[in-house]
Order: sequence, then C-alpha cells, then structure tokens
Amino acid sequence: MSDTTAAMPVKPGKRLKQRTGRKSFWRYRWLYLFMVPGIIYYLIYQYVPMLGLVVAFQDYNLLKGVTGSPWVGLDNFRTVFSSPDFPILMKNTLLLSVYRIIFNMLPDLLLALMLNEIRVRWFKKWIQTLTYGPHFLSWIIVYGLVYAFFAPGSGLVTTFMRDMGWTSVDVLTNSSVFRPMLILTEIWKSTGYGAIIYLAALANINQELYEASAIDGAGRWRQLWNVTLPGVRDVFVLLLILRLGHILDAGFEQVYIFLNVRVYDVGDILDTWIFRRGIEQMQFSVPAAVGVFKSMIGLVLVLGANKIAKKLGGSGIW
Amino acid sequence: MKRTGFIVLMVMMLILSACGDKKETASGDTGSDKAPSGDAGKDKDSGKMALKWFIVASADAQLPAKDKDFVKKAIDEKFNVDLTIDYMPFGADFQNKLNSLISSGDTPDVFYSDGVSSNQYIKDGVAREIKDLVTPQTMPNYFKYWMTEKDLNMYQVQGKFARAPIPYAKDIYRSYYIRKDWLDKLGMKMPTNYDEMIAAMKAFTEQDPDGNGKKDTYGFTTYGGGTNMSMDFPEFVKNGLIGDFIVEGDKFIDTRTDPRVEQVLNDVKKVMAMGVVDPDWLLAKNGQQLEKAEQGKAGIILGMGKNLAFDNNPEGLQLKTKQITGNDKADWQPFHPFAETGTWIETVPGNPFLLSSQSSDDKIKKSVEILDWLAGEEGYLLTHYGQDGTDYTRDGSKITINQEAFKKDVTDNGNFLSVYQWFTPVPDPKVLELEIEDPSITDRDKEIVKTIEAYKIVPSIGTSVVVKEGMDLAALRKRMNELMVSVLFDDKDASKWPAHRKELMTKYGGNEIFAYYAEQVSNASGKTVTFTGE
Repeated sequence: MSDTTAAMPVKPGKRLKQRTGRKSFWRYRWLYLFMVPGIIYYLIYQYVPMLGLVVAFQDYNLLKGVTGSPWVGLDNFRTVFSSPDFPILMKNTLLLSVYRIIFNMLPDLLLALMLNEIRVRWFKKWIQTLTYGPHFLSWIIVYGLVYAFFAPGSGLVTTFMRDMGWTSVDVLTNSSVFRPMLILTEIWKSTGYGAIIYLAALANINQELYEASAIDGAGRWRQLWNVTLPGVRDVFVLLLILRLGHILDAGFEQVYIFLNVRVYDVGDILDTWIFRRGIEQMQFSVPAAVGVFKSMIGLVLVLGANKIAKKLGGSGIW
Repeated sequence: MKRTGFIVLMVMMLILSACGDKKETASGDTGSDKAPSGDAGKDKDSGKMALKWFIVASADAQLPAKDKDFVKKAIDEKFNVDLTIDYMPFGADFQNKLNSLISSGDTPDVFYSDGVSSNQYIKDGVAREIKDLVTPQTMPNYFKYWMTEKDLNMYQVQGKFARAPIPYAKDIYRSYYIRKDWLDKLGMKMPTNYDEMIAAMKAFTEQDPDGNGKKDTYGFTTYGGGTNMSMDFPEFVKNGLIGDFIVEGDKFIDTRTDPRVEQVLNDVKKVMAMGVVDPDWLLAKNGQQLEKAEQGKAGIILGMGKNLAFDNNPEGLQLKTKQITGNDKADWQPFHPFAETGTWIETVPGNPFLLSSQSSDDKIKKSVEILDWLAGEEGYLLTHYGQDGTDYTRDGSKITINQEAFKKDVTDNGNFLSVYQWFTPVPDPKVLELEIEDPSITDRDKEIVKTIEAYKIVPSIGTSVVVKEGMDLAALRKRMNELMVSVLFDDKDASKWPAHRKELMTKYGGNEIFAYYAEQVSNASGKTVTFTGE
C-alpha cells in the first residue's frame, strides 16, 4: 500500500481512499454478491415500476402507452380532489387505518406479554400455534366463515338468535358495525402472528435485569413496567413508524371482500375506489394520481414519525 | 469496476425479466400446457400458429385434458393452429381479468365482452376495425344463419366498425319456477296472477311445506350480489317496467330509474315485511339462489334457460333438488304471473366478440375462420352434440343423441362442450334446419317448453344503445343501486324516490345519458322518441 502511495505523490489522500475502497470491496466480494439478488429484486419490483407513476400526470391511453399519451399536468389531481366522493373516501380510509393501528398493535403486544408470562412450555406452544393459525387463511375464507355465521337469513348465529326469540343481529349489512367487524376479524386473523415479533424482542431482554429487579423487591407488575415494556419499546416504535407509512392503505383485500351496497358509506376506501376506476373501468391516470398522493402522505408521515421517535430518545428506523 | 458491475446487473435483470415473461404465458392458459409465445406466433416444433381466446363459460363447465378434448383436436387439425381457450363465467371477475390481460399487453386474439364495456375497448383502440374481416365473404356461415349485414351495421358504435354480436337465441326462456309438489301438499293451485303468487310465497313460508316441523323455508329467493336490487322481483313487471329499457308510445323508459320505481319499492317493501323473501338475497351471489332452491329452502325462484327444470339435466334445478333433498316428488314447474300481459322484452343483438388490434393479421384471419366454422353446421354439431357416429347419429336432418356415449365423452368430462358453445349459445338447431331427437327429453320437459313459449314477450327498443361520450353510466348505476337498497332496508316507505331520481338525473347525468339513448332509438326506428328527465 505504501509503495503505491509513494509512486503517486499527487493527492495521496484521495487515491489512498479509493484504493482501500476497492480493496475492501474485493475482499468482501462474496458478501457483496449476496446482496445482488436483493438489490435486483428491489430494482425490478420496486424502483422500475415507480417510473409508471408518470401516468398520473398524463391522460393515459393503453395503446399509446407512457411515451405517446398526452401530458396534462395536475389535471388528474384536480379531478380527484374535486370529486364529491373524495372527502368520504378519505375519512373512511383514515378512520379505518387509525382503528387498525390502535386495535391491532395493542392486542399483538398484549398477547405476547401474556404468552411471555406463561411458564408451562407445552401450554405456551399450543396457545401460540392455535393463535397464529388463522393468519394462513385467506380473506375469502374468513369472509366465508363470517357469512356462514352471520348471513341474515341462514347464518348459524342469526338463526340461533332468531330461534331463541332474541333480537335479530345484522352484522354484514349494517353501517354502524361494519368497521368494528373488520377490526374484530382482523384481530382474530392476525393477532397470533403479530405477537411473534414481540416475543422475539421479549426473548432478547437480559434475564439478569429480572433477577436484579427481583432482588430489589419488584413484583411481577413492577417488572413488567420497568423491565419488560422498555425492552419492547423500540420494536413497538419501529412497527408504529412502518405502519404510519401505510396509513392510507386501509387493507384493500379485506375491505373489498366484505364490502356491499349497504355499507358503502362507511366502507368505501381509497383503494377500493382505485380498483373500481383502474381495473373495472380501465382508467389509469386518475387512480395513479391517488396512488402518488397516498405515497406522498406516507412518506411525510414516516419521515416525521422517525424524527419524533429520535427526539424522544428512541432509535427510529435509521 | 463500476461499469462492469452495472453491466452484470443489467444482464441479470434481463434474464430475470425474461423468466418472468415465460411464466406469465404459462400460467395464463388453462386448457393447454404448451402455449408457445413469440413474435412470429409460430411453434417451432409443429409449425402451428398459437391462438389465444378469452371467452365466457358457465361456472360448471371445464375443459378436459387435451386428449379428451375432441373439439380442440378438430380445430387444431383443421386449421393448423394451437388454440388456447381461457374461460370464466361472465361477471366482475371476468371483466377484471380481461382488463388485467389487456393492460399488461397480453390482449387475447379474440375476446368476449358486453355492450357497454366493448365501447371502452373500441374507444381505447384495443379492438380492431373489422369492416373487411367480418363480411359475408369471410364469414359465410355467420351471415347465412345468424346475422344480417343490416343488423351488423346498426350494431356499430362511435362511427367505427369494430364489433359484431355473438349469434343469439331469439327465444327467451325466462320464467318463474315453483315447487308444484309443495302447492299440492298445501292444497293450492298454480298461481296465475300476482296476488296468488304472493299467497303461495306466504304459504311456503308459514305452513311448513317440506313437513320437517321447522319454519325454515322461504317463499321466494333471488340474488343481489351484495351490490344491487334484483330485477327478479316480480314487482317491476307488475308496475309495467319490463326489461332494461322499453319504449312506451313516444317515450323512452329506463326501467330502473323510472318514477314508477317508487311503487315497485313500496311493493317489494311490503313483501319483505311479510317475511316471505329469503333475507340472504342481497348478499347472495348469482347461483346461490339456485343452491337455496335445490336445498329445498325456497319455493319460488326466477330461472333462465330452456332446460333448467328438465328431468334429466344433470346441472338443472329439478334433478339437483331431488338429489340434494332426497325427495323424489320434488317438482319444479314454470309459471309467470304476467304470462298474458308481457313477461320480458324481445332480445336485441346481445354481447359482442371483439378482435384484438395488437395481434398479427394472420392470427386474426385464422381466428375469424375458426369462428365462422363454429357458426356453421359442422362446428355447431360438434360443439353441441359431440362426434358424429359416436355421440350422435344423423339421419338426413334428424339428429339423434346417443346418451351413453354423450355422457361418457362430454358430461363426465366437465360438460366441456358448453365452453365451445360460447359462440353459438343457441340450444335449438332449427336455424340450421336440423331437428334434434334427444331421448332424454321427457313429455314433462316438452310441457315446460310449451308453457314458457306461450308467454307474451313485448317489443324491445329495437337497437343496442351506447353511452354518450364522457358520461359515467357506471357511477349512475352504482348510486342508483345504493339508493334503491337504502329505500328497501332503511326507509319507512319509498316517498324519497322522486328526490333520488332527481339526483340521478341531474348530478349523475341521467338526463343526458338517456336522452342520448332516446336519440339513438329514434334514429334506428325512424319515429321520434324522447326521454323525460328531471
């Protein structure tokens, strides 16, 4: 290394840096090679498709394609924001998203904490398997189950309630219970799976901390508050930030499957609207504009939340 | 270093994306696992031209393995092609899949569509101009048996010549069906008018017609797909609203937004309040109403198709009800409360087939030849009755079906012929001057056909209409459905309908859309027809 530097006296610092850079690259070439598939994946499936966003600023025509369609500036955005549907869609999307953040993250954490307190290993394993099973069912199947239980005429629960002479329940076609039903089915489906990541974080907590706090006379609740919760705080904040980035995705698949004409007013969200305009009516520009809008909001929220998390003493994402 | 790295990256990207493409074509077809892709469209091994069609088929039909699919074999050999047919029941999923194929640049050579969406494909230029492709010279059979040049001309839209109707049956087999055995048990007679029909529904609901000691049957069921009010409710026809559109005097009527819908909604509310309509109807998908009927849970439904209640139709209501309920006496009989005054409208040229503008001229030419063959005698016989000599025998103009062979070759093979019947969905070969002798048809079946054929059918508007440029009919219909359903379930009565209609006509452009329809009807019929909006 020193020979080389001596032979090239001009700007030795930069040269040296470049050299060591290359050298270390060469030395770790196999590790870099490991990265290649990941990078290619992101390039092909995440970055290249982003070029498609230009159709949001065009009057896109299928046959003319991206290169031939006329540019219309912000016209598509104007169409979106002046549409009478937009405020309702926005409200439904945000409400549903906020509900999801609150009522999905907390049960996940709660289940993890409860599982963590179980000392009998086989029992813990059983509960864990049982609770994350539903994660592997598709929403179509979940809807099938809900329909079998709550169909207004032939559902198991509805028939039972009617036969018992109690009030008739109307779950699938009732505006006032549509959102709670979405949330409850999602809790049923995904809580067990969501708890796994917290369990991993809990397993990472140094056992000595518990021993030390026990010696100091802390009871179980005290330990939970002062040892366990701070131990999972970073993971919780991380997940929260990631979720905020998707605040305008209110769960397309589930909503699309559960939606029906009687709950449009509370259930129609940005994504179902995009689907209708884009795939059902083959208009691509206006939905693309909504997509851009969604991404912008997501980006701002992630950056903001990250900053706040760091200010409050956590680590944030980066 | 950097540059080489970049090149390596690009090469790998290309390799990966090439792999991706290949996978897509392979998963896109259902019938054949050998679907060669490539610019020339030729399969190197066999020199055959690869054709891809996307068409409709009923949910119960399925293409068998290649060696059992004698129609594909016949087409491939006759035309030296490799035809891949992708099929789905018509509906939102069909539309979505087709749109996905088109927007990913994978447009099928030939595809099925409906009147309204074909407009969009023509406007976008996805469908090619067919003026020189669909002519009496290129499609002799199509014009000989099914279509006139005049009708085809009237079928065009947007000043282009880009779509042609699928041959269609002029007969309409749309009827209510009722459990005659239930009526007999309760000592009632076949309903002949609306009040008797409602009385039957009430009795079916309350008097335990299946005798299981439980009140678990309903008078009537239908489907709303979770999205709309069903036109199966007899209350539309009761109030003179027949079909989608009618012309009354010199007035053009869109039946679902007419002021009379107020009375329809009030009538339906009354029937629903009696508890005789299956409460599942709104969420039920098309097909589920038949399942309910087959399970013996409902006594009246609306059915389509000539052979729905035939004794030996394996997919039909009659046979399935017997199998599922184990009740040998089950007897579905057709009736219509408005048989005398008009049950439905005459058919107008129905849904079109379109040809892709992105396919090569050779592929399109070949596809047109095959379509015409399907429309001709040879194709019709093969796709309806199977192979000559095995599945049927022919004596002059008389076709006799060999039931055993037909069951083995066709019915037990996913009833696959009905997939190929998409282009000639006409069950009766009389257009081809042939006569069918099917030993599985019973006297009872013939009686059913006679009853339904006696129903009065009212004239249609006589032409297919297109939506005015820039208007959003889908938004209007969606809002209309929402309003109708909310009146049915949430309001005390239908007194809000006039206000709702006003909203549809003004805010959702109903005035312009239907006035433009009326204009088209005027042009086609030669007399002035107007639409009265708000």
